[in-house]
Formats: sequence, structure tokens, C-alpha cells
Amino acid sequence: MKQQILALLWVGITSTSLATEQISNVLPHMRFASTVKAELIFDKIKAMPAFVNVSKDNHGASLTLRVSHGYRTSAGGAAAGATTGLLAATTLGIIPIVKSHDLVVTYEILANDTVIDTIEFRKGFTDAVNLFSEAAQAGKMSKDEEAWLIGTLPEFELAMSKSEKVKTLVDEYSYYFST
Amino acid sequence: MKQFIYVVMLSVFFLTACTTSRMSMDTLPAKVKLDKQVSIPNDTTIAIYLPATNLSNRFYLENSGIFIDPGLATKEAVDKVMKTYFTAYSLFEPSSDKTYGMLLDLNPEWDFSYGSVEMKLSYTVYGANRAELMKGEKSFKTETGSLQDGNGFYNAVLRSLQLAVIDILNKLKPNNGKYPNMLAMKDMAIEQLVNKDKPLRTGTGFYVNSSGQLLTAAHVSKDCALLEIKDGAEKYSGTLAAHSNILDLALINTHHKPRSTLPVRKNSAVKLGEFVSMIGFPLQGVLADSPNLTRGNVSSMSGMQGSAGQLQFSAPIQPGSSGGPIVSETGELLGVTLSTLSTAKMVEKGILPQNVNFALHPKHVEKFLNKYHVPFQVFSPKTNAPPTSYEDALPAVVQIACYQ
Repeated sequence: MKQQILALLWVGITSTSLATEQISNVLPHMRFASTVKAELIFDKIKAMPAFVNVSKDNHGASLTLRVSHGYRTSAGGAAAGATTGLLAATTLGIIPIVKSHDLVVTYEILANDTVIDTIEFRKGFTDAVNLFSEAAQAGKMSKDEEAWLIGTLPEFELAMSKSEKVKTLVDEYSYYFST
Repeated sequence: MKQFIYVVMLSVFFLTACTTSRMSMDTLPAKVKLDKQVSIPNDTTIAIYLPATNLSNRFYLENSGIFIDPGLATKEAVDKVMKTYFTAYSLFEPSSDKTYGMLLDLNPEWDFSYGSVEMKLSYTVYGANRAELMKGEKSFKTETGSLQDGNGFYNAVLRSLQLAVIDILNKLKPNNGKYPNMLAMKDMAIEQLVNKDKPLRTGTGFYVNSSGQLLTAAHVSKDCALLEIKDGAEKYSGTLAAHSNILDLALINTHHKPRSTLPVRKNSAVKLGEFVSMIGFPLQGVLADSPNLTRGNVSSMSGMQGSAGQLQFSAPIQPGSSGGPIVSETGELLGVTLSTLSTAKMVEKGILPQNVNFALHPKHVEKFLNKYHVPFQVFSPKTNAPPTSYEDALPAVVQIACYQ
């Protein structure tokens, strides 16, 4: 019922032709897999008309939406981290470590482990963290990073709605599984 | 004071161990240098054969919750080295018209030990006349650093390939006149380039028509540079003609006249509970190369939650069974073996699954064959027909080996 309401809302706020195009691109049952905290993005993705069929429990689905994130260290960032890290160590953590890195978030549509389409977002972040804090040790996302990641969702939705590869995938799925 | 020094030293060690920057190509190991007679970037048009999985290699570290991407690091390091030493390079594509003057066939192997990663790179160089010019091996071991940024992987590939390229340039002193750009990639025999010592994976397939077209699971034929079909004592190659990642199904063309073919049951009318046999070539290298036949029944008309077009069966399967046919008592195709419920994952949840296997429903096999206009037979068994001896089904089934 919730899915139908969302679909109807979408139809209501878009033009007829666009709505028709979007509805035809509603993706079939997909498994949701993510390295990002699910509570941060899952409901927002599920609310997108194309992704109403995404579920964390679709273990047998041939299609998967995979969201992954990672950090890439630039040469400058590594040097800054090492220098401030040494300072932080010699002062037993009084001086913070300056961490400078790129956060990369990747959205992928897979069909049985084969990547069909992918979109990647990257942004540089600089944070001052305490030597003994959890963020320094485990590379946890900061609030700013989380906010930026959530901000990439509309772009991901737009990219997927325009993706010819995804459209071909949906068409193929319909060929095999429409009654 | 001593405690203070220990804490500082440990912290410094921790920080340096966790940080690895990308190496520069300017600093070479002692005694390694490029011959002065060699000018770079070199104008020889060079192609590189690199196994596809080395470029797509990406895996998930469950404990850390992160993806590790040696494939991306490999791609970036190869690009960096080749663009530094050559004016033009391209990755080898077996069916491409693109030409080259020299071909570098790489066979990389990763070796991991605690905190470090090593790239062992064996290579062979071919000229445009397909003749081998030289071969060698280089390796480079470095700190893994932060696994996430992949700099350790990048450095290992960068330095080992750089050392190999320097050796090649010093020994062959190539240039466009000496090794003219003249051989199309499609004219180079892929058999010469792949590592035939050991297949990347093996699976099972079966013939659907007398033209030598066979079906297997798409994950068996994925990224294979060479598909070798083993039918009894005979071995021959096959080419991927079509595939569906959604169904996990692939069509392979061969120039072989099959001894037998498998018909699909009319109307794909599979019955819950009916007896089935699975024919396959599991555990290659452990079991003899004769087909295995296991018995069971159709245990469910659907697969796991969210799946589409699958049925569940209980005939035991093993690695290597993928792509094998599920055959009825009267010899028709009732499905294509795709997967099994992961015992390891279920044990973690305190459940020990037994013979929970999944196959593609014949209805979708038919749709796939129709989509690509592949001829196949349909068979309608008589009601209460006596079980056959599988004499027709067995010779239709073959082993498939995938090489890179």
C-alpha cells in the first residue's frame, strides 16, 4: 500500500509523459547491501519511486543495489596526517591529528554480481581528531561527511533514472518475468 | 620517562604503519636504471594482456565493513607505468581490430602476509609476428598501509611492472621501426596468452541442439578469455554467444557435433515433489573427470526471498555443478543449476541447511532460447511413463573450464 501511495504521489507531481517514463523504470525486487549505516540512507532510497522494491531481506533477488563508501588518502593528506600524527603522539594526544582525505561513495546496480551501472561521488574532508578518539582509529564518518553523503542521494536517483543500462536491465527483466 | 618514550614510539609506529602514500616512479631501487640508448616515452605501440579478474578484483572485508579494491589500484598503476614509458598502449581485447607492434602478456599473482602485500608478476613479450621475444618475472613487496585507499596494492603493481618494463626496454630496445604496429589483436591466438596451468573456474554445460550450442550458468562463463569444453576424452573451445545476468544463464557456441541433446519439457510443467537428477562435473581436480549424477526431488517451486524464476531441488551439488541440468525421470530438462544456500552463512545463524539448491525454471530457459532464436527440442512425457536410464541425458552434458 505504501508503495502504491508513493507511486501515486510521484505521478501527481510530475508531467504525464515523465511519469510514464519513470513508472516504466520502477526497478524490480532488489537486495539492498551497504557499508554505510542503513538507518542513514535506506528509508530515503526506499522512498524513491524507482526503488520501492528494494529490501534488505531480498536475499534471493538477482538484482542488488550496493552502496559502499571508502576513504582515499591523497599524498598531501598523508603527509599532513603523518606530521600532525607525530605531533599528536609526542604530546600524548593534546594536539589533534589533522586528517585530510577524500570520502568516496559508490552506488552500484548489480545483476548477479555483475555491475550493470555505477555512479561515484567524491569529496575532500579535513578534520581535526583526537589521537585516541574512535574517529581517529576506525575511520568513522563525521557528521559533515554523513550530511554530504545524504546530499548525494538525489543525484544518484537522477543518474539512475537517466541510465540507459538500467533501462535495458528493466526491459530484460520485464521480458522474462512479466506475465 | 621510559613509559612516555614507549607510548610515543608505539604511537609513531601505529601512525606510520597505517599510512602508505603512493610511490613515485622517479626513485628506482639501487642498480636498476634505464639504458641511456632507450628514449622514453617509447614510440612502440604496445598492447597489454591482463586477466580480467585482476582489473575487476574487489572484495568485502566483513570484519571492517569496507570494500578492498585491488582491481582499481592495478588499473591505475598499470596506466601510470605504461603512460610514462610508452606513447601509446592499450589493453588487449581478443576480438578487436586494433593493432600493436609488441604485446606484453602479464600474469600477476598477489601474495599477502601480515601487514604487507607482494605482487609477483610473470610476463612474456610477443612481437607482431606472434613470436616470443622474452619472458621474465618481477616481484615487489610493500606495506599494505590503509587497505581502504589501496595504496599498498598500487605500489606493489607500480614497482613490479616498472621493473619489468625497464627490463624489456633495456633488453629489446624497441621502437616503432623495429616492432612495427601491424598485428590486429583479433589475429593473436588467445590460447597463447592465457594461463593454461590451472583454470580460473570450472562448471557444467549441456547441449540443447545438434548445432553444438550449449547452455551453462552465466557465472561459469563470466570474464573467460578462453572457454574449453571437455567431452569425455575430447577437448575443444567454445565462444560465448549470449548471456543474461538476470537469469544467470549463458549460451556457448561450439563447432562440435554433440553425441546427444537435452529436450525441454513441454509447457515447462514442473511438478512439486517430482524426482529429479542433477548431472554435473563437480570438484574438478578432486574427483575423476566423469559426470556425477545425484538424485533428489523438486522441493519448492520458488527460490529464496526476492528471487524470480527459480525452483528449489534437493539433489546434492558441489562447486563445479553450476550450469548442470536438472533432469526429470523421463529425461527432459527441468532446470539449470545455479546456486546453493550458503552453509557457512547459515551455520553462523545456528542453522545447518541440507541440500537446499536452486535452479532456473525451464520456462525461463525457453524464453532465453527463444530470445536468441536458438533451436531446441520440446518433449512431452506420457503419463506414468517408466523412468529412463539417463543414457540420452548423460552424453549431452559436458565440463567447461574457464581460463584467463
